[in-house]
Amino acid sequence: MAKVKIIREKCIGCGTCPALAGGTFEMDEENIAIIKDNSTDDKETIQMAVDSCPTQAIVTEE
Amino acid sequence: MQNIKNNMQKNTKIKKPIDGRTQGGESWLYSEEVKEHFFNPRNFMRHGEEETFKFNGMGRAGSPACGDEMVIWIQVDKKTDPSSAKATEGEERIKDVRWRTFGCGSAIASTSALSEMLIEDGGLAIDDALKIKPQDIIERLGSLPDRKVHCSVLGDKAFQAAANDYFRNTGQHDRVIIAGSKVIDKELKITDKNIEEAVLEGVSNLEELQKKLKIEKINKDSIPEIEELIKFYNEKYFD
Repeated sequence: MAKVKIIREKCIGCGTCPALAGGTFEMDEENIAIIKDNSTDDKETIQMAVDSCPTQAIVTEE
Repeated sequence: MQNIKNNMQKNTKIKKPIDGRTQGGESWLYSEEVKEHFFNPRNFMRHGEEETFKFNGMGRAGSPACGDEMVIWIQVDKKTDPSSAKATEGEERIKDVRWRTFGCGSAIASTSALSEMLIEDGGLAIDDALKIKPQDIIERLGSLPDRKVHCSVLGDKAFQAAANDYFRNTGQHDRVIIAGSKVIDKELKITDKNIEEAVLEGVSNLEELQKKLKIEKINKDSIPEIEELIKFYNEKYFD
């Protein structure tokens, strides 16, 4: 699985990543995206969430 | 010449330049289906229609980043036996839907497509409708540019809020689905967001909130925090 990271300062809480890849992302109490411990999404789904972030707050760690 | 060369080298060093298209800078064209929905939106709430449109669920969603706002109204066929936990086959179907948005072409097209999905073939059961993911909407639209995918989430979120409103209207507080907000009352599933929205719609005390959220009795333990939040949001927006 591709490792992803969220840049909290960039996240605007639009909720796109948990809507697309709910097995990997969720919103915390401050409505900022966080990464779940055990991802249940496939690579393509996660990549779609990465690409769809309007502020590019999700980065893939190589 | 040397300068140009230097500039060119500079450019290649930028790993992912920010552009207005897709992350990779590939296709940013709208599909025929997107254009069709954008120019001929289905189930759009026309001016003045809200006075006559019958609905039992209304939901709002918005992204502060782009100033988008989306409202969805739904009319759900009620269960014949409200005391039973689950609706029987064919019950709780979405009979009609309207929406209105402040958003862009992608938001218009994707919500138009979603509205079609909700009511075709006699209407989707509300539980099935809640399973619709943005991916399903994008698939129906052919595609959406990456950078526009978040616009399709708007309609989806507004619909979830409308479904929650329907659940509250019919006294099914346990079926309310919470996402991305802090739960204040576990049993009645009241969130900080519910309170914020209620205040924005004119609620200024506990009784008014109860009326707004159709709650008969509120848990004693949650009252202080709820009152605190009503005060907080009233000061935030109206002082």
